Amino acid sequence: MSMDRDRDRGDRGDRGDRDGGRMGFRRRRYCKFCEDKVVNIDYKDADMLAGYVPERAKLAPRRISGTCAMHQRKLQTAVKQARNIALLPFTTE
Amino acid sequence: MTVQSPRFYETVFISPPGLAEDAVEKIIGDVKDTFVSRGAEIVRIERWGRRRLAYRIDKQQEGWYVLMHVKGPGTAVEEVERKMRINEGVLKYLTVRLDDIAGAVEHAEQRIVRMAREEEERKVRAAERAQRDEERVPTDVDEMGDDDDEGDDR
Repeated sequence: MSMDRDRDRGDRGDRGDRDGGRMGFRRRRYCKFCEDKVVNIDYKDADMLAGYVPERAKLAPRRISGTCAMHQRKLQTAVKQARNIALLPFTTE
Repeated sequence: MTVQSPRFYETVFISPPGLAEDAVEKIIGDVKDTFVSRGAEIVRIERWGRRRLAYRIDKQQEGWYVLMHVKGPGTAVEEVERKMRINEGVLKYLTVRLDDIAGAVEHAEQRIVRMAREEEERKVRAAERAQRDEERVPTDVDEMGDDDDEGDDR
């Protein structure tokens, strides 16, 4: 049983070397805010923030947006402030 | 009481869309007076004009947005907010403390420039789209039908 699993894993490793173990394209994750060296995220920039609150107007998790931990926290604050002043919706109707 | 270093605040408030522009100006004046009377100093005022709200407030879909950068004590902000809560000419307000007013002002100026440019681009795109729609030819069948023989192996 355990041998089977080991072999499986080895197999997958062989393939994974080429395409990162994923079908299709591989997207490099990076934090856009780090790239632009953003210090403070502005709640007034609603168009930019809207890109981080898809569909249900919920803030996209880091694993989707690729934002680093520090900027995700700032982004969270900014989104909440923007919602407060009706620049962003709390939810979609 | 201990001496406080100056603090900077940014207040945004929304006035109902039914108000005339000079009525909004009057509110701005009142807010300004309140700040000044409590020892604060107005650094700059931004008028965003009528903007669509992201959600309805008091059954309103739009509102006049005004932003003020001020320098002064928190007690001034307290008083301004108290008055705003009473004032029917203010739907909603938000005050944020700023760490760095120079940076915030510079950032705000950049944002204004950027927003003006984006607005311009939007107009251009809308015009292009309108034109495209006019000369719209029905697009033919997509080209997705290839049988994927160029696999991942190469």
